[in-house]
Amino acid sequence: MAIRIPEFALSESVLFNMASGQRQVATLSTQVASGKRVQSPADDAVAFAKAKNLRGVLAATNQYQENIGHVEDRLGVAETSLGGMQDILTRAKELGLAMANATVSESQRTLMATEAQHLIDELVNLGNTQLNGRYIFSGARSGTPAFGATGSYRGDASVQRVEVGEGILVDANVTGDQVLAGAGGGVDAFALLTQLRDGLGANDQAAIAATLDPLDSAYDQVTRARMTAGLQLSKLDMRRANLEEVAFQTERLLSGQEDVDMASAVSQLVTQQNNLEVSRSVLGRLLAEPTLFSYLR
Amino acid sequence: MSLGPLMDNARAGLTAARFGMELVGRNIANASTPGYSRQEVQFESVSSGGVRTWSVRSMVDNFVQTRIAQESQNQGRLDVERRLLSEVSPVLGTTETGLDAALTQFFGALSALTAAPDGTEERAQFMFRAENLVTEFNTEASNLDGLARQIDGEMGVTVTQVNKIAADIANLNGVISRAAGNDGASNQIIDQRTDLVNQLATLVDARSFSDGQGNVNVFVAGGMPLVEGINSYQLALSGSSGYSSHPGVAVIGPSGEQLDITQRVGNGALAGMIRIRDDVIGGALADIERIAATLTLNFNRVHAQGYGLDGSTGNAFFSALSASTVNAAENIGQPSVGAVVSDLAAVTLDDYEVVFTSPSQFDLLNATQGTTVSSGTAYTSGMTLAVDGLTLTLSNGASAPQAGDRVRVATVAGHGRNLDMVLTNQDKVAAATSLSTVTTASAGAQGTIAATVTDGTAVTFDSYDVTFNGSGQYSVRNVTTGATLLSNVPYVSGASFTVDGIQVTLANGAGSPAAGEVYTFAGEALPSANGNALALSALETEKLMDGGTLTLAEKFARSASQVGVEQQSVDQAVDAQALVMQALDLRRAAVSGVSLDEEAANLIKFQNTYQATARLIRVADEMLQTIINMV
Repeated sequence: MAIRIPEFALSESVLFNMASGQRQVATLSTQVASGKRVQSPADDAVAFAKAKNLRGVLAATNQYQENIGHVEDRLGVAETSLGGMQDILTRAKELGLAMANATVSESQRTLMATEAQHLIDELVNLGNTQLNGRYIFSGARSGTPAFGATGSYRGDASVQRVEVGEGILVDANVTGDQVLAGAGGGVDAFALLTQLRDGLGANDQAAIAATLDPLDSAYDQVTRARMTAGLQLSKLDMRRANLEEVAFQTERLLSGQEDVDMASAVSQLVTQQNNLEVSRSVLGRLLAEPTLFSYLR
Repeated sequence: MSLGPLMDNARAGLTAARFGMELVGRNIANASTPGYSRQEVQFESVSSGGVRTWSVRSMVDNFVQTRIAQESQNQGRLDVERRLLSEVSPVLGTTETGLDAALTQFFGALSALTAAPDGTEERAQFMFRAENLVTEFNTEASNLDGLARQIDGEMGVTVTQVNKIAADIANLNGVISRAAGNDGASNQIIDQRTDLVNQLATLVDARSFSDGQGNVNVFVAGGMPLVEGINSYQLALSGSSGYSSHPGVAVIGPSGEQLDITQRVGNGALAGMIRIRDDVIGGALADIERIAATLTLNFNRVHAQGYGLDGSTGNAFFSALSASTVNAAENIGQPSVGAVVSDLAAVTLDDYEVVFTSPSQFDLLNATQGTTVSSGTAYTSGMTLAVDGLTLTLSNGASAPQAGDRVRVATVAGHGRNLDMVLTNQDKVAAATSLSTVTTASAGAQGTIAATVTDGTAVTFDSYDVTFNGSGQYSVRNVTTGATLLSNVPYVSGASFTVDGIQVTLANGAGSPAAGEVYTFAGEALPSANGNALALSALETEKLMDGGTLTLAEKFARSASQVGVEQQSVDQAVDAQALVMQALDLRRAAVSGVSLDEEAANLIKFQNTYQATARLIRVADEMLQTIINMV
């Protein structure tokens, strides 16, 4: 005997298949609308975990870039100030050279003592350069001006290290004691300028001449600090470029994990919709199909 | 030959045809009734030459029915699992949200703080992110816990449904065995009972057996009787078992005793609920608790070593870990075990178990590592015991311990839901690794002063001064409080003294300090020092979880994706199961389903029989009239 297929069972089975088709249409249209293939762990658990980790990498990369911005601001300002310091020391050297000359009169020398004092004040001002209310040459004591009025260093020797990559730390500041106060075997620029000023005031030609060579060393000292800062800045530029590349690649990987392949999703969607359309017309016919009862008179 | 039998046979034929039509009517009426089995009349001829209705047969394929009952168990379990899992995964967030995202933001803000340790904005942002993180922990943990409680409630409802259906089946057993024969009505009741057995199977792993006397007996949990003939037993939610705070399932026996079957319910919605609640939700919650506890332990340790903008140190950041203990539900005695964290540095986050081997001896196990810490220790009420930074106090609680009693000690449980920030002043966020000092000397002073911090926890941030008298002696005073700390100490160049954690060295400079000279010193915080912030920030990438293989965020992503794997596999199983059920329904319909064509044909057949038989009666009647007219 042939297998009996009652009418209701037939339409039930078409309906069952339509329901699974409708679910797929729903899933696909959500994917197409959101552009995301994976949003909840159920969509694709492996891709979900990878996407989460990649997002973590992306967030860290962005943070490193922000940190680089911070350090660049600080080093940029420091570099400008160091440039100013170079100018002051150059001017001091010129002043010393001119005034060490025997042809200069006493009154000219004593007059120039004021200029020397002015240079000291200016150097103190530059040493106390602030950025966002922080004294950038004070080391960790950023709340305290780096130099007193006479050029005594009030900061400390700490160099702040900032994370600009996983495990990559860069120096974010230049301490005033290295640059101007002669720490680490350098020259104390303030002591030299004071010597120059006092020499001028006292019309002491020898004392003035004695500052000339050390002033060169002081200049070199500032120049070294400026070069170090500049070098650091260009390293940060490279670091930033590197991070941008990492961010770009991570975005690409992330997109591969969680974004929907539009072309394939849309074509699947259209196919499914067509299938549903066909099923509907089949079901319509099935339900409208006459039974033997229709022929009984 | 008389005409009597002809009339009798014709009458029997009319009855049979009418009955046949009645069945056609019943079948058509029930064409779309779920569980209805097509009924077929069977006639037999009798020796007198007539016909009688021999039986009404329900067209049932028993093999298919058994398979449907079995597959209904899977169907019920998978449907519940899919629904519950779809509620669990949103709690764990999307690819862009969730605990790991909150952790990333928290550590991001910390990284920004390392670049600007004295930045008000950066500190505020960090505090904001920390609060967010705490909220995320609290919300996720309490949402998961809420879901588990919700399942407890659903289990209660399911148990009630099981009991109702079991009672109905027992009741129908009675009706069916009382019904005399195989008439159509009792067939419909059998259909009803079959439908109930299938419904029961979607709820619990019910297996049914016919006892050959018309009864269907039902067993659950691999052999516990639920329906026996006209008797049914009840399921109930039992008290929690082990250390669980959730109820289990028990069968109530004939004399009211409860037999726990929580672990034995193998299928049906109830099994799905227990699995999702204990394994999936319980697992995800335990992961979150452990992440929270690990973060707290490590972050607080490092944070306490650093110094805030205000110079304070030794501060905890997150609420401290606390140890909790739970007595196993099965305990006979009621020992009381108290646990406190006595040495944070030694705490491991492992779970421990005190197992009484006799009323006077106990073993201490490390449940996480699966090791025995100590065994056969003699027990006296009130004794204390130290293990990995915890101090346990064992005593008789409501009653003395009995052999087999177990108590669990945990530092992790509940920490996700109860995590809090105890540090509320952003200036106390400890970014610096050390303190500094500031010193001055009065104008024209001949000596020098140097100060270093030797004990950061003792530094007060008051200002101090050192004054010299004419006899080469000095006195030290706390200027802020006015207290004299040292008086008339003979001066030796290069010698030092220590007050409030600061070591001060006085020495000759241009000359030795003279009378009236004043030197000052004070402790000072370093606003731009970030060493400790860097150490805290390093916790983000440190592999703190799962025996040093995963970071905190990775562990969460792993945990969330495990729920996803679970959900994917259940989704696939549901789809496969639907196909199985669909195929079985089709097979059932092939035998039991009502075909309208068939019924129409039967209707015509019976109608024709009826008309023909009626014709027979008319002919017999006419013949009788003919005979009567002959008279």
